[in-house]
Amino acid sequence: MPRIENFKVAIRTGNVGTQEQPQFSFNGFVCQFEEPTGGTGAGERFEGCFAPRSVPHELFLSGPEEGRWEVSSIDIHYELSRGETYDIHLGPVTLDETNAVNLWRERPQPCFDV
Amino acid sequence: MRLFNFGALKRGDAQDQRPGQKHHLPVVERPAESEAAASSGEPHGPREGPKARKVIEAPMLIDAGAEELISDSGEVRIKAQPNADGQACSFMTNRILCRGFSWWFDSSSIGEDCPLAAIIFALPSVDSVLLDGSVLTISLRADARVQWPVFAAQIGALIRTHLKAGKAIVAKQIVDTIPDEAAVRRDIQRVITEEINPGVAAHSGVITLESVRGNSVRITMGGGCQGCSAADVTLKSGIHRAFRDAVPRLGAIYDDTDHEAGTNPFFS
Repeated sequence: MPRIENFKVAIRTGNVGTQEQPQFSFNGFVCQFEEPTGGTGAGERFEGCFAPRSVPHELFLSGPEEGRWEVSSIDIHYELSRGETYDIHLGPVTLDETNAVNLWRERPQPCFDV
Repeated sequence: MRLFNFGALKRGDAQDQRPGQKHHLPVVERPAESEAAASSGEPHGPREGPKARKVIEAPMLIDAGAEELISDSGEVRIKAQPNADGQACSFMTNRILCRGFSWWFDSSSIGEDCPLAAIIFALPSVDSVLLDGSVLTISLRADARVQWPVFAAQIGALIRTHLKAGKAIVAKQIVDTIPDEAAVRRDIQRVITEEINPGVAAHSGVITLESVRGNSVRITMGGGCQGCSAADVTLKSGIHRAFRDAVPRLGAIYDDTDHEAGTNPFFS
């Protein structure tokens, strides 16, 4: 399993936003994103990053403690050990105090034209 | 770094997924952290009971290459994506191969059900074909080894020729007899409850039907099955066979288990 040196997220909010600062869980440690920009209100875009420098066993974006958060998309840029990088694009998901969404996906297999 | 009380996490339902995509749904039970821990930045012991959270999956969106593929409505375009172990390859096309259902074939159904699959089975080493949306996935026989760049080019040419000719993908009489979602759910759940789970219970395993969409099903393997080194054999030789015997028109069977998160595999 690879080690994540750093990851960046861009979260686009749909029609229902949240006033809470986004937080995530990495291997059980609950953290906030570093260098946050933008917002999580309706229609807004939030960006942040984190440098865990650890092997990922779990990486979840948690729902708000109060209310509902309609996320329209999440873009994640992973920087792994040995300089490998790749991007993951996730679609809509609705978060609240009962759930969290998985952010960790391994590098997609390469594809080619045939 | 500021720490927050995130509460415990538990495995949850998948919301959506691309065909063949594996989920990562670890089960985590974690105590809440104290205010002191939050201010010091260090994790401490529990102050109150954990609040359970369900870990869900967002749909994986197409990558830039596939997006380009779909936006091109002119010529037939196909991208091949072999899986990690080289035993299967997905062919993503810019045509809808089957709408509202998925379809699975092995060599026993050559010709009658899926004209496209019949052509593909003429090639050596092919074990089964799955059609789901715009994706055709070919699985090889267990003993087969191929050079995918070459083999995939052959298959791509066959698919392209077939699609350009406007020939049928799945015969209409088959499409008309695909069972509805409720019937699929009922029959698959019955098989799990009456046949499969009593069997895997001897290994402390449990199979869960997570969702049904059309004639496609998603399952997870828990307990002793999660992370078990024999899970793939159990899935393909036991579960797939039992499901398809019970529901002859069953399409895709996706295993959403995160086997790396298994904590008590029967065979490790």
